[in-house]
Amino acid sequence: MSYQEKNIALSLLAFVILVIIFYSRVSEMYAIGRFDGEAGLILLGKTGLAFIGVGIVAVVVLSVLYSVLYAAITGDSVQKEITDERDRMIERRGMQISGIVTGIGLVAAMIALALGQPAVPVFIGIVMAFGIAEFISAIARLAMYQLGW
Amino acid sequence: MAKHHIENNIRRLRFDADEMTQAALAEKAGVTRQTIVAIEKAKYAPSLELAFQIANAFGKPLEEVFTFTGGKKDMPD
Repeated sequence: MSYQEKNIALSLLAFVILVIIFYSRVSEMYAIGRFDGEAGLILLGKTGLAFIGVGIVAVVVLSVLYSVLYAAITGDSVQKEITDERDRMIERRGMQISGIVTGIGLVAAMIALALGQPAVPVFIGIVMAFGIAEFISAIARLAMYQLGW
Repeated sequence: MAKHHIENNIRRLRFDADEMTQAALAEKAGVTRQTIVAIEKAKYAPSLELAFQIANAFGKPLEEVFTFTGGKKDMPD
């Protein structure tokens, strides 16, 4: 596995853990009625934002920790690891896949609303769609590296 | 994945260049070894700039390293 592959795998692990925590936390809060009423929606928005913030910080911290460990174990600096045009192409394809999955999630959310589903689970679904999109994107990027594209 | 119409002689040229390793070629071309592996197996078509860099690494003209096999219908007017 190359440096890029390991980095993607690490981000993937962080996202999976965060999405599971987010889903279990908001499901629990929803079940006990914490998201009821206008104040509930504000709380839901704050919870979503908090998880996005935690997610970004977690991925950055993990990435830095991995770089430090990588340099300590291999003796090579991360700067020596090149990001070339193929890495950038795989990154672009990953972003395209992520965008498509997120779009599908948003359309599915609109359909759910149109069918009379309550707003809170739909909002949770939208946030989950972002997580799932990132998950699928990371899997696709890993597959592209493994298949040698 | 779109089928590439670019073949290459990288393996033979590496052999001719005193069995140059993929890692050595990668370093000369400024890319990762994985990218050289993908190009050599014709799974990835490099940019024109990278193609020239690989050709320069062997000290050969571009057409000795890469060959377009797509035929006339794929060529722009």
